[in-house]
Amino acid sequence: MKLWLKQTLLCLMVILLSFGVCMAVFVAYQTEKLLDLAQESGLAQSEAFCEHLATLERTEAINMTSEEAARRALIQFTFSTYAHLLQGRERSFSLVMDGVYLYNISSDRPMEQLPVTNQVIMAQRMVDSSGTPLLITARNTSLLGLPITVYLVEDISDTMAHIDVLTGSAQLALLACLLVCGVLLALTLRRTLHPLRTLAQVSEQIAGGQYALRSRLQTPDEVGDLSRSFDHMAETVEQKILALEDTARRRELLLGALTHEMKTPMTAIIGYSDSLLTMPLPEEERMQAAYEIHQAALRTERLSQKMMQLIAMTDCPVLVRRPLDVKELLDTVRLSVQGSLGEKGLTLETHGETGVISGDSDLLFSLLTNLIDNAAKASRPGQCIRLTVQEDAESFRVCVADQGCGIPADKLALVTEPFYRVDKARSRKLGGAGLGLSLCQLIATAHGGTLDIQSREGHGTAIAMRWPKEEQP
Amino acid sequence: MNRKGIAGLLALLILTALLLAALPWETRQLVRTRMENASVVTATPVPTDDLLFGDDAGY
Repeated sequence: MKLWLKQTLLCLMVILLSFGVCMAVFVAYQTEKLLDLAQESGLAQSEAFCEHLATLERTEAINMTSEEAARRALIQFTFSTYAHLLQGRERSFSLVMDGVYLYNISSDRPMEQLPVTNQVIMAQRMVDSSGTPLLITARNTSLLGLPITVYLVEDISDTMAHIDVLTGSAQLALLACLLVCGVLLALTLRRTLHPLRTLAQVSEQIAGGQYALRSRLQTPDEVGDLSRSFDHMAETVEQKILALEDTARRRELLLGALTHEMKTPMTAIIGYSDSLLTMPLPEEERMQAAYEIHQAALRTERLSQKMMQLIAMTDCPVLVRRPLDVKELLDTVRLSVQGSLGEKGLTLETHGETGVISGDSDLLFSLLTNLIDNAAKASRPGQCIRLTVQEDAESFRVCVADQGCGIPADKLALVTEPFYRVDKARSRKLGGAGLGLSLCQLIATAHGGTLDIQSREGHGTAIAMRWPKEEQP
Repeated sequence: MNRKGIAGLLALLILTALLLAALPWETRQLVRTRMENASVVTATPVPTDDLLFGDDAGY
């Protein structure tokens, strides 16, 4: 069941019950009042009639010493005269003396309906006579020394009709209240709950793949709060999904590139080993084949190591940041690269060897050796590679600059992609796999820093990593 | 509208019918009570101890 319908039905039931109880109390009160008024009216008329009869005692036509039969006849005559004048279709008077009707024109025997004893002054009772509601009022009194009972039988159909009209009006009011409240509640609740429907639609569309959708409801209430929370959640989910998609895409590219890169040395290994096994080669060519196999195997090993580093950095970059002595770091790097640089006739200049920096020693060592290795591949014999370590108020900076061939401006943005090489033939010849700068980029990111690459084709390249002194949360 | 919605509407209709029927039933009950019970005013005998005579009567 829809929420607006459920709320409407519940509210209607509560309103109906409350209003119904109020109307029932009101109708009961008014009914009692109308019946009381009818009874009071009956009493007043009966009282007035008896007052009229009492005037008989003030006449001198007869006195208490007269015969009882004469007094009874006079009472009967006087009663009938007054009754004839005062009664009509709606009311009639009856006179009872010693249990005998002296005057009665009503078909409803009032004495039998409401018998009264001598101790009773007056009595009243409502009766139903063949569907007609009657009010019988009896009054005991004494006239000319004789005890008499005066009955008034009154038709109270008007009072009952009044009560029926009152009840009908209450029923109509109840129905009108139900209809008006039903319509108003349904309209109001549908309008109030409309933002929730919008939210549900947006939610379904997001579940269907439209991650950029937002509800953007600006109501200043709980629904607005819910919308803002929902949008925040959608934003986070979108970012996570984009990151996952990006990671999946990168892994796919990486796997493709790795397969391709592994193919080249493996082809060399298979080709040369096949020659050794199947052909009788002179000693010099056998040595050359073995050398080529060894070189291909070394390249495969380097590729494998870098891939492992790259995957480790991508999946879970564990950073152990601690203070490092710059001189010690540079000495280690220099020792590591001086052999390969010496073979190529290159020199390494270092600047800023004093002080302490903060970072992961293994990762920084890897970064610097990779950058120097790249610089060496780009340089010509006799050129110099400059390694600089700097520090300012907020960050550290290491920079490796060479005077080599440089990188074309349109390729600068691509050099950090895995397996991307500016000059594929030369890079492969020099043993490069195109993973060095990707690894450097990951190391910079792991330190919360950036990798800045400046290059002019034919003049050289400077690659710098800048990272903050304070560890980022 | 599902089964719960129809049940809710039926409940509302039944409640409305009950309330509408309760109003005339209530008035009929009130009238019936009046018909069953006569209102009677009886003369109460005054105890002789309460009657005042002589000087205490204030005459």
